[in-house]
Amino acid sequence: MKGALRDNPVLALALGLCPSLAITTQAVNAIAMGVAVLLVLVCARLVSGLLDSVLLERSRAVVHILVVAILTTGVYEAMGSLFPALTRSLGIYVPLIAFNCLILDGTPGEARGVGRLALDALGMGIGFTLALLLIAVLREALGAGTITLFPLAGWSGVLRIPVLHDAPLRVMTMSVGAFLTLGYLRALFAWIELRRREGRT
Amino acid sequence: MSYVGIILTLVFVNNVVLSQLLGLCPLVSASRRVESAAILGFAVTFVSSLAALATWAVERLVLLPLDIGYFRIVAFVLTTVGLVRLLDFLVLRTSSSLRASLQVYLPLLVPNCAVLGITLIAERSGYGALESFVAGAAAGAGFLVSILLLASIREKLESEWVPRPLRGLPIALISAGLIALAFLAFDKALVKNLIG
Repeated sequence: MKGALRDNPVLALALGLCPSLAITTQAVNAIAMGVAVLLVLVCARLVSGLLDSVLLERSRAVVHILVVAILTTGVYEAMGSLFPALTRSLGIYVPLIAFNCLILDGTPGEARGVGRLALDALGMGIGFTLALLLIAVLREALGAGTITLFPLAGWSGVLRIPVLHDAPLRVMTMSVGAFLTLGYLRALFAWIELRRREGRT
Repeated sequence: MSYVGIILTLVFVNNVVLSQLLGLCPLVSASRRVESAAILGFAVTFVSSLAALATWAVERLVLLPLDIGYFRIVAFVLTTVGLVRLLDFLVLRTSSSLRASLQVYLPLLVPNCAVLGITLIAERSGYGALESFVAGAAAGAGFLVSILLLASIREKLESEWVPRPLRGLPIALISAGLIALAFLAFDKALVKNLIG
């Protein structure tokens, strides 16, 4: 859980935001992308951790990239057949998980056990999903006045926010909104961190 | 689409960074100085144009004839990674000073989502060989333009007072957001008016 909240990868470390930030236009997209990254991340750490003991030092980087690419293919094909419409709306960003900095910038597996590595990855994946969801909810609420979740029996899955829905800040759903939301969120977290450190001294 | 149309669209309208939000890690980490931004920008342009051409060849010569489209992600990843390794090897053999200056940026070039994204965009647009090459170069040029703009803003910001929580990454992201806002002026209608 430490990985999920304190070392939150997107908000604190700003790694792995490249291919994922673009799809934070709707809450449902963020959840789907978050879960996809989580699956690839955990499996990649497990497989790479196991392989590292038999691999030569210099071949590891390439093998890691290959493992991530194969896992991404699996997740992409599975998503494509389970949720075709959702996967189509995510476009090239699901295949791009293969080059996600968060997954590739892994710590070497030897120092700690494989189980510990997978648990860390799970924490990071959950944190990543939560961060994506936070950005997506902010962008969608401000930019469209709605929050789109999964449609459940009879309910369309779209929450409407009264005032914002009539006069949304459309620019927030464009790429501008992604940059500004992440920038100000990072500033907010930095401010909280500064306050906490000042309180301690 | 004509070549001019592809270039205008990928540099200004669908800019890889400012509109597609690809390649943010290298954008943020190499934009402190205009010089380093320019080196990385040119390297990305070079790699992405060759990668778009190479992945077009892989698509046409391997994936389509064998009907193994599901293998595309692995094939494209291997192609782009292999291409960067090959270039690294060739540069090593020609000049050591160029290599020394490029080596720092190699980690930013290998897992670069902008390069992989460009190849995927070119594949989805159904471009031919030359169109893919031009699209790769234009998308890389789009990356170069945005990283140069951001780097010059960040250099100016160094002499300005910035509130402490905003220093570093937040102000860089907000600056990039404002550049993206300016780029909203370029839209599909503009391209249509320019080239008919």
